[in-house]
Amino acid sequence: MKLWQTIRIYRPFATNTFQRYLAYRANVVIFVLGDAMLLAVTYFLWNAIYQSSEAAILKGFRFEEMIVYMLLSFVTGTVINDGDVTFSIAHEVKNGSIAMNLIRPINYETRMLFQNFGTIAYNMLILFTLGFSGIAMYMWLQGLSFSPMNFLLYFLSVILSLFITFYFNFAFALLAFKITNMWGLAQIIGAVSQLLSGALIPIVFFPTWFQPIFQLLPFSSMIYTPTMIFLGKLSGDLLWQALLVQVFWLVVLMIIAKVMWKKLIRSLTILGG
Amino acid sequence: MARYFKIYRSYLQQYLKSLIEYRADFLLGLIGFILVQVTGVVFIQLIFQTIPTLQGWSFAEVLFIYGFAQIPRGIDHILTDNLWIFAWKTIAQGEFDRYLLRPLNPLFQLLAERFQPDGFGEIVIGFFLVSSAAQSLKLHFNFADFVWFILAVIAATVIYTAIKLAAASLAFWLKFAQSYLFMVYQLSTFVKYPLSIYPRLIQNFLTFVIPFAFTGYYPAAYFLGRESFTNGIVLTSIISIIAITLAYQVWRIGLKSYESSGN
Repeated sequence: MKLWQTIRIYRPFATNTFQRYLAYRANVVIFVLGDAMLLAVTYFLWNAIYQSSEAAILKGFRFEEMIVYMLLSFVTGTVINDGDVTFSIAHEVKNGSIAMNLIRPINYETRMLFQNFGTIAYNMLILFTLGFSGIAMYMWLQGLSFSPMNFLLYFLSVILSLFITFYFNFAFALLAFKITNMWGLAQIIGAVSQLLSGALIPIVFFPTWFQPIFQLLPFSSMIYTPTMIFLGKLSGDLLWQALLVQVFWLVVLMIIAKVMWKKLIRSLTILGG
Repeated sequence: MARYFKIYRSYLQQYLKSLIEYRADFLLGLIGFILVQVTGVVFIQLIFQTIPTLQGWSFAEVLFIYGFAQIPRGIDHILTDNLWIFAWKTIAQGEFDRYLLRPLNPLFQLLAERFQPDGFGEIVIGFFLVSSAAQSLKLHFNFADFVWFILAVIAATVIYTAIKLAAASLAFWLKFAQSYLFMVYQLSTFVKYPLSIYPRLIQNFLTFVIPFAFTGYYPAAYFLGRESFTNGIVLTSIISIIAITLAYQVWRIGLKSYESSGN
């Protein structure tokens, strides 16, 4: 009952964001095309790598699987990541408008979550549909098998990683209370997560001594886990373990975000108004 | 000319004052850009653990090209970062008018207004990669090579600026051109790796249409002894002059057809 009421109250935040994205769709698509340029580079790189290798399978990946990995991790990363959360919080802190939003009888975190839903809805409808059709087409052309079960599990895993990413970004954005150059910091986090989420290269390529790092950080739960599930590289116990790790990170990040919010909001000083 | 230098210096002084104010910010930006490039290096490193050479290119050679490509990119980044702002909002928000009111070249004002030290991150990592790769390849640089290196870096920087300028100038017609600028700028990613890994079509596109290949691959490959002097140095210099002339023409045509969005 209470949940229903929350949804009713906060839904406009989601629809609002969604409509804003629709209005600027041409620009969003062009930005994504710009990112897709990187995909083309990566495709030719992998092509050259597999041609230079004597083995047809590198770290358990055939060339076609690697391409699916690359495409799907890109699409997944684009869908779950909402840079807007970070920047709109940082922006509100910087120009002081957060003060107005704190006076309103609206939960700030819930509001941000619903704004995030708006972005995700857009990402899902437009970017995911387009991107995934492309991937499905590639798989069909290459004669790769498609498992509906893996697709469903992938979807479940993506929903978890969506929330993980949201709470991570939310907690990160709260640093704007203390740090002014959020852009520089965002670059740093972006670079780290590129590498550790598996967006750049599958995690199995990292040396064994480095593997424990992935267990200690939430990044691999964001992109690597769902993508590997889709490819059927995680099955049986490993699959459930990976999903449990995702739930674990979701809970941990949620707690961190809430604690940070409570601590930082008390020390907030707004200059002028 | 001397007047422009003097004015640029006063712009820079203003900027340095704000830099001292936000020292931590500067450091964060710098580390950020270094890390972004480091991810690329880690990628190459991980790949070379599974293969001996990348279609005949050794690890050190690939790093040399990768590092070289960062240097002009960084210099351009430091000096012409305001083009991003221009493509984003200067026209759309009617802020361009004030450049036209002053008795100075509007493009000069635009570029001088912003100095972006984040680019030093790219330069630092670029020099680090180039020198460590050159060392492990036992490349010998004589005096002439140093001169060619500096010339190539300058020409490559000019090409970067030219491509950015041409794309940003679209804002005169479109108001918001940042997404197009971003798309064109992303093409530069291709030339961090040996050009031979791409199909002919892409190679030609990056050589003849949007000549990013001269900002990384061609000059770098010359120093590795893989490309001729003509391709590596002579063409890079010629292309840079042609590119900046064309780009400035696009800017001027745009400027002529500029209509203020008003207040």
